[in-house]
Amino acid sequence: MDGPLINEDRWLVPEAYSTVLMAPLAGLKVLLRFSLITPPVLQFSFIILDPLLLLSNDAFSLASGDTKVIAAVYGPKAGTRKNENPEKACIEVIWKPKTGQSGKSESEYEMVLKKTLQSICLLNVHPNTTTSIVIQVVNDDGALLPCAINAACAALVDAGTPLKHLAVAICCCMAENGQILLDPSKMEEQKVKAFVYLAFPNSMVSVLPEGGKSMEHGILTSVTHGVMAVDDYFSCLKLGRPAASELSDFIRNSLKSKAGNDPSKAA
Amino acid sequence: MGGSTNGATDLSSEMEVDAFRRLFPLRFHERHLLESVRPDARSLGKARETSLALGAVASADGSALAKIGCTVNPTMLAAIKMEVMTPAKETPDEGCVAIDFHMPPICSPIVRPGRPAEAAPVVSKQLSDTIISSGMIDLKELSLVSGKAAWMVYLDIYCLDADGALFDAALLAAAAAFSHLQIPVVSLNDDGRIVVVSKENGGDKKEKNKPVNEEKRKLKLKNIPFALTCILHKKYILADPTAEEESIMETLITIVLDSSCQLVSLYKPGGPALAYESVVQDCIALSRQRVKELQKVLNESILDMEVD
Repeated sequence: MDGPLINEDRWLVPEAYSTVLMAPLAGLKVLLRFSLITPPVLQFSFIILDPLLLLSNDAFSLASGDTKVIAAVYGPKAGTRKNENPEKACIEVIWKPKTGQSGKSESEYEMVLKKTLQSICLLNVHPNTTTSIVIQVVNDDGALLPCAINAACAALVDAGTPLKHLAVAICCCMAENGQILLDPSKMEEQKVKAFVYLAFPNSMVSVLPEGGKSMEHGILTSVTHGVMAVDDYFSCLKLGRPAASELSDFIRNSLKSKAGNDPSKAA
Repeated sequence: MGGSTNGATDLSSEMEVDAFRRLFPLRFHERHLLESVRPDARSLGKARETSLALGAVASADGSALAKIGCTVNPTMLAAIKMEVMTPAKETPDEGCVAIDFHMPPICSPIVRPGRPAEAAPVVSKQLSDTIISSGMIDLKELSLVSGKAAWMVYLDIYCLDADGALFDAALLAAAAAFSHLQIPVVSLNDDGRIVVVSKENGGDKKEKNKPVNEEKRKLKLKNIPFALTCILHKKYILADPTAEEESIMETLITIVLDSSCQLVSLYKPGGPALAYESVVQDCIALSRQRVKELQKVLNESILDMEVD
């Protein structure tokens, strides 16, 4: 199993960048790296950096076996598009594939991501504005959509967009033998019987163990591929939830340490 | 009059119904939900009347019209055209299915001429994912000569009247078109090429070149997928929403089950309401019922077709 390859601290945004980038509501870039497999243990690393840094630095060669996505937030800009409610803020998602032009699957991702983000943003705060979220796929090695949801969320936090709560997304897949794997690689995704992308709301309560019908038990987004028994879906859900809360702790810690290092947000 | 101090709740008794519906659409629907009924007099868990007509397009190899709801117009038209192609090197004995979903401007006031509808590519992708992953069609059945020739199936679905639950209607139309599909008879000519045996001179050609696929004129469909879209709003679950309901209450969940009640897809793209496990169970129960209904509708339309 691959551990985190990169020391996180090395990849934090240098101060010069951060002051520019941390300006409220400016375009912020967040890169999320996943290296987690082997059920049911999750292992991940989360890096926040400027994509320019990524391109200029050879040390960050794109290790194969990882899904990487850059999420950038721009906005809120004045005005909404046609067919959108001007009394609310509009969220626009632009999905850039790794190569080639965007096609049907990209527009599906755009739609799912847009609706997911719409349900976590406070849309009444900036009526008649548009916030654009640009997702650039750097490397697709399975669980692309969950990775993009997590990255977009972190980018929204970084940009200071008002949110109700965070969302945390994971991927579960069902192997032929009934085993459930978390966060499959691209190869596994193609070989397994079925896989499920799940996004859960991630509010502060999620960190605390809570019984009953807490918010974290609700599904925000679910996208499945392949045929499975109904019970299998629920066992994926059961396994997915603790994994998501673990990931949520991780994202919160990363965001916290980032905010701590950032002079413009220290106050 | 004097008592109406707290807004729309009391206005409802003084205002005309249509005005109230326009001004306070959410209230209007919630008032109905309180009484466990919907504006079109359905109960919450009931889907609209559904009908199917096979063979609507004469020039296609297989076609179907699906109609969900009581509008005059049929809602979905699915048509299949088949072509012979050389199969891909990796899958020499498999055919191919290409699915496209079209939303012309006539289908809804939201779609404007000259600008493609945003929903069309999404539904199109969902359809091809569902149809291919459900295993309804065995791609091996589309093979003619291994490594040399196979069928390319073009399935086009046109939305003629968009009134909610687009995906459900489109999937039903697609499944019906596949069950109506008559594969054209082809034969190998002297140059080793595959040619379609036309009906008129089929007799003469048969003597010279034996048809390749005389027995395989129908596709065996197994595990046909059926979809049901539900709206989640507060504690209510509304099955098979209309376009108006979809625009007012935004949380949609689409469940696709196949004829053996396996889960083919559970699709919930965000939305303000969260789907708790019990709610998902309820939705699945509703879809199980709907699968039975739709299967009946499909079987009846196939029987009607055979009688004709």
